[in-house]
Amino acid sequence: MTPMNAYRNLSARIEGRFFRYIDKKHASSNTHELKQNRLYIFPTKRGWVFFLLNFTLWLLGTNYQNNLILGLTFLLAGIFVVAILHTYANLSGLNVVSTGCGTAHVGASLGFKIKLTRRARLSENLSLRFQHSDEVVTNVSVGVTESTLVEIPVATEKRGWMKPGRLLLESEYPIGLLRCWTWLNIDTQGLVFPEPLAVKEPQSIALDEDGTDEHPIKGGEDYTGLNPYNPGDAIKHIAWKVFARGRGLYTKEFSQNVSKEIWLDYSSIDGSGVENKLSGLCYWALEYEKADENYGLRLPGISIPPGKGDSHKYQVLRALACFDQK
Amino acid sequence: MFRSEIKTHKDLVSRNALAWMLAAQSCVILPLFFYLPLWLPAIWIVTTIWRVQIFRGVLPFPGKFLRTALGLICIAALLATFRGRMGVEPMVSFLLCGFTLKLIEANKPRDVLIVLYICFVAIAAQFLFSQTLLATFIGLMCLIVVLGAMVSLYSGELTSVGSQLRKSGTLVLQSVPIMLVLFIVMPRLGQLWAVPSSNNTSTTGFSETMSPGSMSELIRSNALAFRVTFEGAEVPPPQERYWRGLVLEYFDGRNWRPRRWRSGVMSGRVDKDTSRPSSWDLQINPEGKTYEYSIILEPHNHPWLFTLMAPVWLNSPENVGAGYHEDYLLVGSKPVHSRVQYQVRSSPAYQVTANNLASDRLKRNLTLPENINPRSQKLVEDWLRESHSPQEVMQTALSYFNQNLSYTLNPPLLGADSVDELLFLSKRGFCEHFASSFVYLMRLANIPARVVVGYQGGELNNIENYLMVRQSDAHAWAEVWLQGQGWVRVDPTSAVAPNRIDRGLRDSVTEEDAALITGMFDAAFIYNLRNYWDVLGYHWHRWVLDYDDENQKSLFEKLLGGTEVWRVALLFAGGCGAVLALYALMLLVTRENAPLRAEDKIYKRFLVKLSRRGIQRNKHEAPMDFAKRAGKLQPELQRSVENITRLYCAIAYQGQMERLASFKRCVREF
Repeated sequence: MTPMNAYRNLSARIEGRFFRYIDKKHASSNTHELKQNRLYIFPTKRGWVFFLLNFTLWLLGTNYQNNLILGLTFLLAGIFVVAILHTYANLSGLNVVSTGCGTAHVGASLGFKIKLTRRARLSENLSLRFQHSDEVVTNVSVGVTESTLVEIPVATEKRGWMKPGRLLLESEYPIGLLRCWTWLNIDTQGLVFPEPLAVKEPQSIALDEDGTDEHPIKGGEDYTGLNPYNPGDAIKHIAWKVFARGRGLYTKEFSQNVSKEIWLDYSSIDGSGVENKLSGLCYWALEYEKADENYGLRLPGISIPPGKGDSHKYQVLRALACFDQK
Repeated sequence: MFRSEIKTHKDLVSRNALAWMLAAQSCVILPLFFYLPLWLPAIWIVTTIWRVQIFRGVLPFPGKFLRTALGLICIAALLATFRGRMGVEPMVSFLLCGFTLKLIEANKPRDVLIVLYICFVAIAAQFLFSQTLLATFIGLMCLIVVLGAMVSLYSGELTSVGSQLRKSGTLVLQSVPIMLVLFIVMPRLGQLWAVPSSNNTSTTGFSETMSPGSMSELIRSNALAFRVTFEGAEVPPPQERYWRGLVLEYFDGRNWRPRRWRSGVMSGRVDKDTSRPSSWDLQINPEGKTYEYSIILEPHNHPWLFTLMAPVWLNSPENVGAGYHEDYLLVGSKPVHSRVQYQVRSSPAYQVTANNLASDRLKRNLTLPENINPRSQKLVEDWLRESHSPQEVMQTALSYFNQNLSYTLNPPLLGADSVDELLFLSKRGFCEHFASSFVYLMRLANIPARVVVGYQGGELNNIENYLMVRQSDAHAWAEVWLQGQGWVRVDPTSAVAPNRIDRGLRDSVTEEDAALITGMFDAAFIYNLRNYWDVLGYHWHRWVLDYDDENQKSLFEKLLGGTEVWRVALLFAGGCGAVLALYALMLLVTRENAPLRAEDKIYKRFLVKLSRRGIQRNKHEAPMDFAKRAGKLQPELQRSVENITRLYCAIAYQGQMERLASFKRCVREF
């Protein structure tokens, strides 16, 4: 084993032990208060360079027997020490609350929402990221008695429930010589839907009993009147002309709006392999939702009756996300 | 308040960072330009403008070829300016070259940080050149700006410039106590290896040679030459304050110059008992008066030191390395490039015991250039005919000076026969003219004589009781060898203008001359202010700049009762620990109670007033509910209580800050 490998091995083992230690010490939770038992502080690389520079200045002052240069180096050393307190105080007492997260399709990033609250002082220039994620939110400040909401994106790779891992909260404020950080186990998870994949339209469209392939939007002539807009109404039905006259949002109502039932069937969708099939189903579920159609889902062992609207869509997508997952 | 990602471009230099970098660099670089070649500011201005234009997109970053070319040009300029000389100036100039050129290739945040780190070195370089109080203050301000730039890099872009500067000021102020503890405690190791020293020549002071006019240039400078603190209260009277610096023996008809320097130092045998040169042949009257004093000498770039006649005891730090010179002088081991301090004991009650001058010295002090000043030669011949002893010739000469010559700060230029011209034509002169002519006349009369230059007088600082000797006190006088008396001081200037010696330059010049030395005749309060300022500088030097091993030891003895390591460690740990604990309290404990807003403070005052009337607010009670209950309890207060509470609610919950003043007034009147 080369020394480099040995070093990596060792550091990985130490890191592993460290994370096991903090996992055991601080249970996973949705609220964390940052206190001295979970804040770590250490000089940054810049800090070490500063240290070296200061030492060089000290040599200069000693060799020239120049008390002012020596005073300068002592002052810089003092600044370094005082900065420890300032860096620490920047994070100490911060309240971190996880306020849930949105949803995302595989490949997009999932945003975890974190609320930061501070009682007295300002917290400046925090940066947050999850342990195995490259996406960092930087330059977050928390004002006095204010709370700041931060959405931390995490790249998604596979569908299903996703735990973001440990949250790293760090700051090098005020002068970048020291870094204060903490690892927080956030007790939250986000749902990742399959990635929509355009495939051929599934053939298992069950026609209405009378056999006519009626489409509600096409029967625009049978427009009967306006209803006040309710959130969830199809955008296509909004009476834009009315809206443009400044009378508010109305939805056009059609007497002939006969819903037809579409079944998205796992067995009849195109695609090889489970993931591709689920992606195809996902794509069509989104398409039908856009077209304001009623659609149902049939997966092995799961059947969701046709419907539409946000909650129906969520139900369908969740079923797709969680299919065959433990 | 919702703030999603605010991502900074991690690999670009933001406008903010660039502005801070340029500001920090200009702050630290400007004070340095006073000491360095003039082409450096030009390079700095060019690179600064260039960097700004790069930021604006007008110019590109320079390529590798251009950068190398610029570097080579700078090195060539350095070589041309300093001719390969080593020293502080070339070193710092080199640093500044790199420092300014770095600007135009600073395209990453890391480069900005490098520039800021070099700023710290540049501040240290400022202290290499100047260590006055003012320089310290400037350095401190520079530090705050540089640190402010660092704060701006790491505090996010939402804070204002003012708050960033405040933060850096806080950091610096809080570090000062730690610095003081470290300053006192940290061991002073002394020079670890030899370093090139400053070749600064901008300081004033007289040079090795004296020619007509050289002194009168000098006396226009009001700069300090040295300060003298006398042990004990007694300060010698003005007419005894002749600070000897240099003895000039060679005369070429116009210039006086000394023997080659080293040749006189501790030449010959050293007296074992006194460790003084045995050639001094001094007899000190043990009953006589002695003055023990310490001199803080400003840098003058020459090795000679100043003393009263006759120095009998000497104590100087290693970096001065003072030794005795055969002409009763003190000489340092190297030129004085920075302020130094040394202690001397002088005994005016001395007696030269030698009866004869050594033949080579006799010759030296009688030699004159031939065939010049014919009228003077004739004059001396006349005197010699009438006089019988050297003393008589001397007296004749002095009375001649007194009757025929006058004192002026603005003497006319003299030609080849300088002595003749002074004595018979212009008849006006300054101390160096008188001293030069007097010695010339004495030598013509076959009396060994020489010129001594140094300072005469000094102004007593009435605040701290020490003597300030300025360049304007520069003086030249004569010494004459008299059989049986040895070298005797004769000041021909005192024969011409007695006031110059008794009362100083101020009282000895005419009104028109006074214009030449303006700034010395200030109003009394400015005079006092100057004295106070000088006292500050004096203490600064004594307690800060001069703090060394020995001072440290004596301070430990006084402060801790010993110099053992554990005592020092205790001071260090106790001092730093106490300070840091205090800061930790300040920073961490306040978080428990958020600062009250203005309206809350006033409302609190209102609640206190109500409770004095017997109405207490319960913790769970909302302000309006409480107001209603209070109104029921004391109906006569109902209107005002409700009014005040409504105002409070409007301000606190609806943000109607404009009503704060009336709210305040209502509560006050309540």
